[in-house]
Amino acid sequence: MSEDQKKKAEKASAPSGEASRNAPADPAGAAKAEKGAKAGKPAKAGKPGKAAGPSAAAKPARAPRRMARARPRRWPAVLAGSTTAALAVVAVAAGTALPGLNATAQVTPRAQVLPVGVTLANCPGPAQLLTGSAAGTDPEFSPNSSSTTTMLNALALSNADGVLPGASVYGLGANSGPLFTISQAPKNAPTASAGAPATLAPLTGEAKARAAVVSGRNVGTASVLQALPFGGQSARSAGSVVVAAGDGDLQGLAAATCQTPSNDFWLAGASTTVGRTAVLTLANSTKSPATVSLELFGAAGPIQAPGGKALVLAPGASHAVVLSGLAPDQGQLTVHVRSTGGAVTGFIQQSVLRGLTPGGVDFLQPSEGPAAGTVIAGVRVQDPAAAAKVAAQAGYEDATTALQVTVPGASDAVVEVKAYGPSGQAALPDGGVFTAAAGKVSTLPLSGLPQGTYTLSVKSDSAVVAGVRLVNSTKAGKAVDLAVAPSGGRLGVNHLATLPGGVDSSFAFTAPEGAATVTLVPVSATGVLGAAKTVELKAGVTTVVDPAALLGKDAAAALVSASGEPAYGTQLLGSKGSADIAVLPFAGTGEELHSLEITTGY
Amino acid sequence: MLDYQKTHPRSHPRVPAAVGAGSPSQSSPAHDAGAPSEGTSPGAVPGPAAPVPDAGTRDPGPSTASAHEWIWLLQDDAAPAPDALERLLDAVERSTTAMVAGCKQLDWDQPRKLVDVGLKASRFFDRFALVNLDELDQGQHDGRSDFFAVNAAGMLVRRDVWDKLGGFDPALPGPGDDIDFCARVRLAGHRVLVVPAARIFHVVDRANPLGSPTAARRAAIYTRLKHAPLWELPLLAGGTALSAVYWLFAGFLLKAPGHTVQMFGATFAGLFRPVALARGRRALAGSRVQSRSAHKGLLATPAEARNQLKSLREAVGPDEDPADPSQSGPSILEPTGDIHHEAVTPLAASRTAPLVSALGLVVLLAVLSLVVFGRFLGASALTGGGLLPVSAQLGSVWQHATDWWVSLGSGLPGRGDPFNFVLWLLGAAGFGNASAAVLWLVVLAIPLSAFTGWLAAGAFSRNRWPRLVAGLVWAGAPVLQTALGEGRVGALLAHVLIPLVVLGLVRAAGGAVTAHAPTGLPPEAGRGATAASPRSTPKLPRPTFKLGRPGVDHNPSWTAAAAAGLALAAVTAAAPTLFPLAVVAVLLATIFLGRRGRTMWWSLVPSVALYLPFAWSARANPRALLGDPGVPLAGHPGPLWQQLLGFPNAVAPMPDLPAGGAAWTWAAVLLVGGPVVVAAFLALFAPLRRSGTVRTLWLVALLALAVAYGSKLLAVSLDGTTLATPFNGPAVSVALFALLGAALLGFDAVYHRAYGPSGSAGRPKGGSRATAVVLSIFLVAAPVASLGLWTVDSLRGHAAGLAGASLVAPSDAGTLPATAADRGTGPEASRTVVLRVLPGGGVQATLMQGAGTTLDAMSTIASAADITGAPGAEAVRAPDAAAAMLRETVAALMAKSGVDPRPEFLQLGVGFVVLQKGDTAAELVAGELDAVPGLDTVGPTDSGWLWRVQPTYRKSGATDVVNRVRLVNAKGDAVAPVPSHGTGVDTAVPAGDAGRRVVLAERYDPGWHARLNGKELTAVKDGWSQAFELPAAAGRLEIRYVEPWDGLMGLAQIVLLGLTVLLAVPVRARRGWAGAYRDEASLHKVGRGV
Repeated sequence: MSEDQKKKAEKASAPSGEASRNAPADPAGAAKAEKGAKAGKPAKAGKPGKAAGPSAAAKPARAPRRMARARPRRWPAVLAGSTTAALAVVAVAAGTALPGLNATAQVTPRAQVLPVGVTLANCPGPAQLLTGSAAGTDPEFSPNSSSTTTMLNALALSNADGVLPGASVYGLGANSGPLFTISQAPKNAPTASAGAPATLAPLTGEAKARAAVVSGRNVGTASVLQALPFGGQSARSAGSVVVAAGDGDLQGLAAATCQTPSNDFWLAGASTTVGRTAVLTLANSTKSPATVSLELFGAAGPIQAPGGKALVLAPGASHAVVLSGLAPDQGQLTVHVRSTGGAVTGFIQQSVLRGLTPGGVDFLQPSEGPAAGTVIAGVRVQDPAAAAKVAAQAGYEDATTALQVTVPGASDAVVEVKAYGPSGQAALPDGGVFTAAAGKVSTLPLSGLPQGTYTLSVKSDSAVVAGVRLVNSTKAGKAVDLAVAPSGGRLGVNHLATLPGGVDSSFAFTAPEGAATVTLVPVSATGVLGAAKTVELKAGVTTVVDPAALLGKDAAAALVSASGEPAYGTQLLGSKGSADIAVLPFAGTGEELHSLEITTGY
Repeated sequence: MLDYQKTHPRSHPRVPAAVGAGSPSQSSPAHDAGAPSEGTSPGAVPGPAAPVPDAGTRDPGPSTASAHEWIWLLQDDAAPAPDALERLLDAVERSTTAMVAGCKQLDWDQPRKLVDVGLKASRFFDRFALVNLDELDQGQHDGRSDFFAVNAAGMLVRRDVWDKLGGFDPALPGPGDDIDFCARVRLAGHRVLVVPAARIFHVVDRANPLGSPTAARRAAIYTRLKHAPLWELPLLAGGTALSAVYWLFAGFLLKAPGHTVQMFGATFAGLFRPVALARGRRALAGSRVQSRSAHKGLLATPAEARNQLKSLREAVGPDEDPADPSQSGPSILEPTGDIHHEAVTPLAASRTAPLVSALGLVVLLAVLSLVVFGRFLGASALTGGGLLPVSAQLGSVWQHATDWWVSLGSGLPGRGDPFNFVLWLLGAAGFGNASAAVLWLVVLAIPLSAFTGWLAAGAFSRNRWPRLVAGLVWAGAPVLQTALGEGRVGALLAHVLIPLVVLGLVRAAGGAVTAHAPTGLPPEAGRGATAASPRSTPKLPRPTFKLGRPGVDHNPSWTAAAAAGLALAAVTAAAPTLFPLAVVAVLLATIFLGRRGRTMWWSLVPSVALYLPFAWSARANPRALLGDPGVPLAGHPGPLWQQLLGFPNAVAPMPDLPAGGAAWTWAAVLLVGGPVVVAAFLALFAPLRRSGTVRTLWLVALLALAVAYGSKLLAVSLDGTTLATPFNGPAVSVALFALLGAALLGFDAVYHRAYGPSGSAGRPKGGSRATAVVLSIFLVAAPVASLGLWTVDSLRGHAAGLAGASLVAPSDAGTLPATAADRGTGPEASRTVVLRVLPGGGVQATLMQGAGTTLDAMSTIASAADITGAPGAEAVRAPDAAAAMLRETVAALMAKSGVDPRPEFLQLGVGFVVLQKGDTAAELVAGELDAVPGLDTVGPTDSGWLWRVQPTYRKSGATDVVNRVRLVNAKGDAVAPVPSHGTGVDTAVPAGDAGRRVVLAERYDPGWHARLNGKELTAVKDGWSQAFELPAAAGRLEIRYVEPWDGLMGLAQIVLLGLTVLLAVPVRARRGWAGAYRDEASLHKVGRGV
């Protein structure tokens, strides 16, 4: 505060204050007295002479001295005020400069170990040929082709102490008994560490861990792989079914990983145009009834299908839905399966018959739910020239490799696709950017890519579901086979992968964003874990690993773990000399649900 | 005449003079003093022998000799006139039956002033001198002779009568002995004379007097009982006691609590002296020869007594309210010379009451609020932030306020929050609908703040414009907008009420401005000021000390202190961090203000009374005392300078402002918060008349900022995943209001100088006017900018403005679906698990009671229960058994494991599971929960997906829902449900198996008690829950939670709050104060300004 301001404030406030205090009757007289007093005591009032001078000259001290003395002096008030002001400035400055500690703190929500139940995985049965009218949703099936083989491969992993869980395969159905047992439950179940969090360290061959493996078991029906929990931890097991037919309408290779039941999943890549048959098989292996609703998306938008609502599945029941009955003549069809009550699984058996030529068969498996970014591994692209020849045939328009993107939301999505091939990122037409319409399935042909195995990274500004239709052919006129590679999650630790016999397996791994390391541990048919092999992934390069070469011929299964930057991968099946192709995604590690963060409210 | 004939021939009797002591410092147990006359101790007149100067000359023998001996009683603080003894002797010579003669008492300091000319007693032996306070001796009482009693000082008593009556009653060591003695003299058949010609000068005022009004009161009560006939004795005693109690309360109502309590004590001290009374009555009976009717005609009549007291009260009471000068423009009643005084000032602007301008501001702001909060109108309640709906029944709000068991989750011991009383009052104001009342409080908080701010500004300024500006500034405070946005109803209410507390405290210290202050002190104030130091000018005539108008002119006010206390109780209940601030501020004020601050301590009494049981219950975890009411909500306090400017939370630069958003934000902050602080700062340097008040307000502001600074050092509640500290907003509000007061004092002075009427005598006003205009512009611009930005931000949606984002939303659906709410509030008292899927993937699980957790059910004790550790290093406690069971059960639900959760739900008393609606993740969970065994799907409701838990009572068909209380057999299986009754149980139970128990879904606590047919049951622990061993026989089962101190604390609360309400009831100033003084001694004491 400057001196002038001070004076001004003082002058302004004086009459109301001072006059009233000492003037019994005459305010004017009091004011005069006050001025006189001011003049008389310039020094004591703490005022510079400049301020007091003129008033002293103009008005000599006329007021009686007694009154001047009786009036309180100003300078103590101003001094006290200045002291208070200084105190305030210091206090506020100190408080600002020293913020002190703040007891407000974020508390990590306490993770609650979830109780573990029986681990279930539903495996599809043999591929079946649809007969009769496709109009209804209740299908009839013809007997299988004579040459069809349905092989189930399964394994159960022990805990770190080498104790195997009780695991067996049941036929799907309320009262069906076990088809076979993978491993016997230990007599006295380990009681250790019921509450300990299930830590998942990558297993190596040196550990005591072992596995029980069943390979190539012929199964004639849909089955359930069931593993009992022990020691407070859920058992880890996985299985796959490979259906191969050398002739008949369903000629080709279809494979599926046994699927963990879920209340909500997406199946992409189906087709119901003429000659294309898509049969959705829902299975409920839980003990609760399930009410399933289907939501269908086609290339022209969402499809209203009253017949796909409120399908009730009793415990142990399965139900086949012919999708052409719900959504006929859809070149691209994506199905959203939702269940209330029991969790269910669903596969779409997609088969193509072009005229009399079998166009392939596959089990469509769930993709990742709608997300702004998904990755599809294992996109095998044939030689463009050969593929173009095959696709050029009449009726082979859909015999091309293509990305299908479904936008379930209400706004269009701008999708950017990047393809990571054997030698790094490969260019796509238009830079891989296109607009996918809301509520529809959009397609991006990948035929321009050079031959090789790719991984597609799909990023968009709103959540999408993606899958890639793969087509494999030998030469024009011969049977082609199809497969759909679903999008998959980031690789974690100890994924179980079976290596089915009779077909060639290959693993395709990519780390789109940076270098990563994939560790593969072979599991022999007798359940012995071998020495771990590592595969170094370069950023943005898809590496294809031949397990037979890397892990040895006798490996019946493998444990796949990834570390480093996010890595994605899948297993591709095929046969030399044939068009057969199938995608076998890695089974999940089951680690997501070991604990849940529970906060309690009021 | 006959007497005169008889005595005249005799010679002058010998007169020993006995000198009594009037001050307690002497070694003799004497008495008297402050009031003149209070008699002489028997110690000073030890009988015929001792210190009488001429003892040797006395004839010890025949009584005839003693009949000629007289004793003259003198006191050390009274000097007789030289001829006093002569006059007395002269009088008794003329009147032979007069055995006692007394003098006319005059003031020592002012010899013309009468003290008494003889004494009278009312029928109940209340003492009366019947002399007015400033009555001068003009011989108006010189005609008196025979009188009821005379003062002990200068009393001349014949020796034999003195001996026969045994002198003064030893039970009356102080005042009142003369009345008693003279009454006995008369009953013994003698006369008592007052001799006005004999003058004695008595010191009226002395320090530390023995003859206090209380002693007089004690003596009067004792004398009353002593002289009453035996049959009247119980009636009199009872009546006296009853009237004492009545006057105790009336005294509080009349704002003289200290005096009243003293008098109450004195009355009972006089009543309970049975031994002395028996002795006194025996002595009286021994000496009495005449009937009690001898007093007739000499006693003061009731009318006489009443008139005397009335005139005394008028003398000391404050004058009528002076007219408000703001109203007193040229009055139409001013004589003008016209015949009928009609319409003489048509050209003068007719000024409306100041209230009108305030109401205009309030209406303007109300319209603004209604526009901004239009989306809230029509909703049944508000939720979000710190807000929840309030219980629909006002009774349950009261229940939650007074219960000693917190009905949250699985229950825990703890008294309800004091804030629930405030909620109850709000609900009562809202015609029973507390939710709507809270909604309207939120909607109208801004105009209400403007009104209270305007009201309180009246303590600092009498001018309309500064008061209006103050109201506007207060309504536009950013801290209020933060409280509104975050739904902190406590801070909101505190902001509205803080001005009232400050107003009350200022008035309690007599610091409010008066209407006439600017033009000079009023005459009575001047007199009061001089009378405050009566000994300084001893020889000058002393005017009567008048009781001033309380609240102004440095006159302390009990009404204001009590009213401030009631407002402060509401404020501390709403914002407990302000209580330490209030304690420190009031204590400092009491210390530094001295007499002026003597009523201020009472303002803490209501808060203490309100918090007494709660504090007792929170003793295990005292941090609960500082917790804010409502849902725990973490704040993020900004740097101290921002808090000084009125922003409690850190100000984040607004992203959507034009280029250079940060600079604009800081400019807005300075514009909104700066003017008040700068004006308050300037006021510090201005030599204002009330610069002391300015400094005090600055110190209060600094104290409040210290509280705001310190409040973040202690975590007091757990907000799900955040340790929350007390909200610093209320302290920021206090600081802001203190600064506003300081700024207002400066602004008012400038404004008055510029536009006030006193400066009309041609003084240059230009500078003042310019200053006033500049200050006005800035002080108005601040709230206008603040309110404008807030309005824009609010109308644009949920954009975060300067004062933070809005978290409050209207809600129409109940917290729980109607089915669950019905069963929760019914006798089943089923609980409901409410699940919410969190965005991060976790789950929030809440065990709710009744119709869902309400604002009144929230408890700071419960919010603080999970916190442990030193301040600043708090941690969350591991969940106890009950909480762990809830977590495990929820985990089992969510794990899709197929585990049947019903045994745990039965133990938790959970009848329903609700999943709140949310995104697709919630839908997925809803689908998964359908698969949980034991849960019946009810389906989606307005409040979320609902499942009912199938009960597993062995007695099937009893109920379709899980109850809170159940019967359990010896094996531990639940047999049957038991209906609840409030927090307890009161029901008939049928006979059952031996070894059965009744188990509550409440945590075990020793406070639970159960009775079967009136017989206490053994409490046992069933896991974590409370259980009782129940005999096999049928009977009436009663279970309740008992806090042994409940009755005592409730009584203390009622008494303290009741007395405060009595004190706070405004009575007219003239009837107040003086009306509580019901005896002459007290009124004389007041009138002398002691």
